[in-house]
Amino acid sequence: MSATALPVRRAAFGVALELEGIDVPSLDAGVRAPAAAEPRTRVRRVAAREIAARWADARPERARELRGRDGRLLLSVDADPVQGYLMRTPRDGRFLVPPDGLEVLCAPLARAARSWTDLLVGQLLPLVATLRGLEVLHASAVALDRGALLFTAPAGAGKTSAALRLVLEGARLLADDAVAIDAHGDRLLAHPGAGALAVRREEQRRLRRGERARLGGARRSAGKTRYDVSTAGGPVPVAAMFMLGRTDSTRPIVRRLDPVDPFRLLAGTFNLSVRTPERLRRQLDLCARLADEVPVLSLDVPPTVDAGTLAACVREWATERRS
Amino acid sequence: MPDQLTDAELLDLTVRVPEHVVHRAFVAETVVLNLQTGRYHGLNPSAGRMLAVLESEGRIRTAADTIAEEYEQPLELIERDLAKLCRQLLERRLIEFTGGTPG
Repeated sequence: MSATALPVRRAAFGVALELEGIDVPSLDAGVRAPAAAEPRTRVRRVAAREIAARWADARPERARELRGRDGRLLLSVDADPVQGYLMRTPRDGRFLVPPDGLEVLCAPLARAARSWTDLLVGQLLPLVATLRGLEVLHASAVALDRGALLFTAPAGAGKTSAALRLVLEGARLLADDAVAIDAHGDRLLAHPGAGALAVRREEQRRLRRGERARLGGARRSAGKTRYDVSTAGGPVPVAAMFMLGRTDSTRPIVRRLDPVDPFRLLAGTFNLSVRTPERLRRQLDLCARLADEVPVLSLDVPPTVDAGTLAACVREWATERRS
Repeated sequence: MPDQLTDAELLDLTVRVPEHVVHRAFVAETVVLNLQTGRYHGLNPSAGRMLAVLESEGRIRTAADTIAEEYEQPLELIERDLAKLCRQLLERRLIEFTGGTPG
């Protein structure tokens, strides 16, 4: 008689998950699944031939490609209205998500070891959240006092570093790179994603030993140090959104954007692969609500200013707002 | 075809926003989304208001009356601007004639 491991239940990106034989330490066991998150999305490992068999009848269109600076293909997503979304990376393998987002079939390469679970939490689960009716922003987010602060920025502009510093000062992490948002009545809620912070080399060097220890388990992946940190235990109302940018000034400048450029908000959304009418409408609705209901601020930072100063600016703004 | 119609002929027609088009008003801009193409279009506040009035009134000339009154502007000026906007929206398939394309 063979022993079969029981599925592990987790919640992330506002979706209830059932993981079969897959260990993902960055999915925090303490996160509560919202009632609307049912039914559970089943995540399981399969042989590549199972995905190939399902995909055999697909008439796919290339929905997304990500290439390196040298032109090498790093990630592709093909979409088929019936079979769903096939994500492939030369490093990790192939993965299939049906259009309803109720399943994730994973056929990782043997050599992918741990890296493919980074793809799972960084790309596949945000895709699932989008298919399950949430909207996902390309942002980091922390829960501070009574609200979620979101940070959007181009790659490398400091959104992870801002979140990292605020977490070290006591904020709870909501997500590093992809934040799932949905509307509950008159509130917009940000859901905890994966409890992982992917820290760049420069920021890693600035971390003191005690800070590294406080963050928890770490490993190297794709040129970054990934810390597995605990996340907020459930969704948090969105309190503000900061759009990070650069300035030639000597000090960081925070100013409220009024009016908000809707196209900047739209550009900050995630999962460009999903272009169904339902999703496009929801995406526009969410951006309209963000512009209407949430303070949207630009936070322009000089290149010489570190993430600690940036986090202090955010704290100062949050304190002023409360008082 | 709209480009074969004079402004006067165009103003007598009725338009609607098709089901595959949604629009949301932001403070300084209205975003119009064509769900079939996934393409977004931006309209300034005046054009956004014109679209909203066109959607509720249907007949272009009636919409012009409403907007001229609302903005306290000469009717001829509004009719000219509205006809121009309608041509642009028709070209992008963001509005359509009710009962099909004339001519």
